[in-house]
Amino acid sequence: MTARKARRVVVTGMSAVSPLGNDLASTWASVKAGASGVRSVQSFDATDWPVQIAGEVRDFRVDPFLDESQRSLGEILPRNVQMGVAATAMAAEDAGLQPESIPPERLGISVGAYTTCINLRQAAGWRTLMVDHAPPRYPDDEKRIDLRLPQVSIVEALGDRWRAGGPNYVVSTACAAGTQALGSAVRAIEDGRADVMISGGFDNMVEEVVLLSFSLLGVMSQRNDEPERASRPFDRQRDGFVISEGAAILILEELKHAQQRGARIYAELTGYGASMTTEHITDAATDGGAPAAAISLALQDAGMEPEQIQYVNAHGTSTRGNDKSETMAIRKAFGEHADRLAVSSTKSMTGHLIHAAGALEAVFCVMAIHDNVAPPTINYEHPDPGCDLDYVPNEAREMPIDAALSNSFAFGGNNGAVVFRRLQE
Amino acid sequence: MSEADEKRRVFVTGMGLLSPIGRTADDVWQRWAGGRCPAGPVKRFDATNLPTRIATEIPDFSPRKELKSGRLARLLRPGEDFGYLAAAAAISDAGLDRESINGPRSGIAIGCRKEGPKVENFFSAIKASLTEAGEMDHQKFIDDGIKLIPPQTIVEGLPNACMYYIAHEYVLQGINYNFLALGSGGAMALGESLRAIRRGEADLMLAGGYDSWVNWVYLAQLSNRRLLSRNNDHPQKAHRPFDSNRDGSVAGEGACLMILEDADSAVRRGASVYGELQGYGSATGVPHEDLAACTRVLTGCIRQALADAGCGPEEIDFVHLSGDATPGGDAVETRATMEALGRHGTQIPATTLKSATGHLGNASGSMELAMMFEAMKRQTILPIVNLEDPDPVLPLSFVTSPMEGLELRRGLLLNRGWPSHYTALVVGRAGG
Repeated sequence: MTARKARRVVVTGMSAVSPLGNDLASTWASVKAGASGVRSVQSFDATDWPVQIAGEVRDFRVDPFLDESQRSLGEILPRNVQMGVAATAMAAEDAGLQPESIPPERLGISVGAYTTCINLRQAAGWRTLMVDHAPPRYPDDEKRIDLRLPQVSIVEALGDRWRAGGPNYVVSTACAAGTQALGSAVRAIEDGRADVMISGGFDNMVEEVVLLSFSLLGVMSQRNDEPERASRPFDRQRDGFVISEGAAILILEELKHAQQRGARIYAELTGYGASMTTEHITDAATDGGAPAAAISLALQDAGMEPEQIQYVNAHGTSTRGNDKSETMAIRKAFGEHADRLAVSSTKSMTGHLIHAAGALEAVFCVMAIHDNVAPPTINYEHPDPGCDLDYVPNEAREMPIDAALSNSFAFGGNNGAVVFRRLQE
Repeated sequence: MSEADEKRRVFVTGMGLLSPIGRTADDVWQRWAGGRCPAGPVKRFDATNLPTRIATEIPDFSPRKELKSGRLARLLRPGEDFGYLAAAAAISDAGLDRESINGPRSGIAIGCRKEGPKVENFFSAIKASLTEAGEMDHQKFIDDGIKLIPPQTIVEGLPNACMYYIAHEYVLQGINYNFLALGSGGAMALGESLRAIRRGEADLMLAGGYDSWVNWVYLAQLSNRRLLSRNNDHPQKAHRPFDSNRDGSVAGEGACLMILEDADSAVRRGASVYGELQGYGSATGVPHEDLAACTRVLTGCIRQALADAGCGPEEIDFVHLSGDATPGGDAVETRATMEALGRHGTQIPATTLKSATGHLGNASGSMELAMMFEAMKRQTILPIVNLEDPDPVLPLSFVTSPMEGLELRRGLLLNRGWPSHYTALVVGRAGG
């Protein structure tokens, strides 16, 4: 509970690189305007594929965000880490973070990330090396991007640059990773193992093999003719999620540490809860039970009653199963207050950033509190009797928001929920 | 954290493991005592075009036979199958089953490494899409290739797949962590589980790591980063921690998962206790190539673990080092041990299991912890395999022949994940 937490955690900087914009200002402006970032796939030829749409980050270059000493890294960093580098630099600038003023061991990193970075050309290259044995001897010190060690990339690109010598978590729980990374970061600060954590997520699953594999599973929208209308969480005609890419980073800081250096405080991260759905690996919890437990644990950790929350950023993937299950979970955890909540899925605009989704949606929760605006669920046209909450249809809503909760539920059963609140004395 | 939370102690009440040298703690101990590393030329695939062509493999492993489920055998990648089996063994070893586990109060913490579905899943599709000149042809891919990609590919590629199957089988519905790491995952999972139980977020955690580095891609990656020995002609002598002639690890594979329990609950149900997890520290060496900076960070990390355990340096009776046998890695951890524990640190026995098993990746931290409990039970410390010419600049008392009849109450485990993730754990013997 807030009162008994000796060390409180606040947000002092944020950033986003998303299909809606390459920084937070443009991304948030698009969210408030209800714009979609989903388009036909540009980065490779998906003509005639079952799924031809995605939320891609456009015109992105990492160079401006790299230190002089790191320029040579640029071309060999995988794209997800590149976007993470950019998001970290922007969040650190937003927070006025100066690594030289923090002892290295007091600054840590906790990010949701995965390491898939493979396209068909690379896979074909691997086949040549592994099956055809050409060249006959594998070249020494080859700097191929597809053979880079992901852990090395994250430490080299983020750890070294920001002198982050504290805890270092790469959380890999698929769709829940961004939220669970925030959870690990919060605990590290609360337990006194760090004063500042760079936390969030990055992912670039808009890759050929990923797009193909997911579409084989039948969980992606195939509304190829109308990309901007494809992600339609809670709508009766929803037919799956849209895969996206991007990054979001929050600078989390112990309250006194932030106050002492006179940092701007966006909000307090008051609670985190996690649970595991153990019924089926890719289906949502049938009764919403385990996700509801994560929400209740987060509220309990925050020392808050359900009635104190005004806005919920839903996981809201736009799959048939998730949206119905999540509606039940919200009802179960919030009781009667569920009908008074503004609940929206920003995935209707951004698509699903997988390992970065929870991080970006946490940023939206903080901005919702900051601006007193609930983001909309766009493409909401046909009410579904199984999804009967107030989803803030199609247009952002100005309303007082002091506290917001963000949900993430993964393929693989991991659930996480995180609570933000306007800083109280 | 309140006073009450501070007092929650955490016992280890079960363990399950698979390694290249045995599938029980007793087996591993006996084979370690035999003093020979089982490394040899890679059997599982053709490694002839790689700079490192040796590894330690789990012998006679057949996923289909051992997993008793054709579906799991198909979906679990190498390493994950070890994890699944180790989980089953740990739960049964702790005297638990799916009926007796309190789901919402029981969590799971895993350290692993996974890079999506097998790249081989795409090879048939690619082969079908190649032109005569050997180029990928988009139309051929659409017409002939796509249908050759196995439909379960994405489920197989989920980073948290193994964790899910374990949680599903044993109804572990509470707090959960899946750390992707390069060697440090298992030790981190144990440390974070200690914290979660102390905070009261769980009463029981299944925690540890699994891994397999024995595949073409990892051998290529790790060898190119100079993390693996290239002593292909003498595989059994290749992994030589703290030796003057060390040149890296031998890639191995395995799993070790443990049951961590709130001490009161463990005592209440009459569980047998291996020992106690008392303190945890974690840190990252930055810049990662700066050995002095890494040493400072690891020194702080060890102090953090001691403070967390509430014990002084002189209360540590032995050290289990990471011993990845890289020139820099071994130097950093020996110096940091001396810095953090002072003169006492240079006098107590220092050993490592690693050269007896090869580097078990994310399973190494938990596997080595299991051996520390064995050491405290037997009051014996086994020597470092292949340490023939101790590097004179490394300041610790390396164990080179078995030491028996000791008084071992408490030990320090150091774990290094590449490139520079450090974990320190303080462990105590059963019964204090």
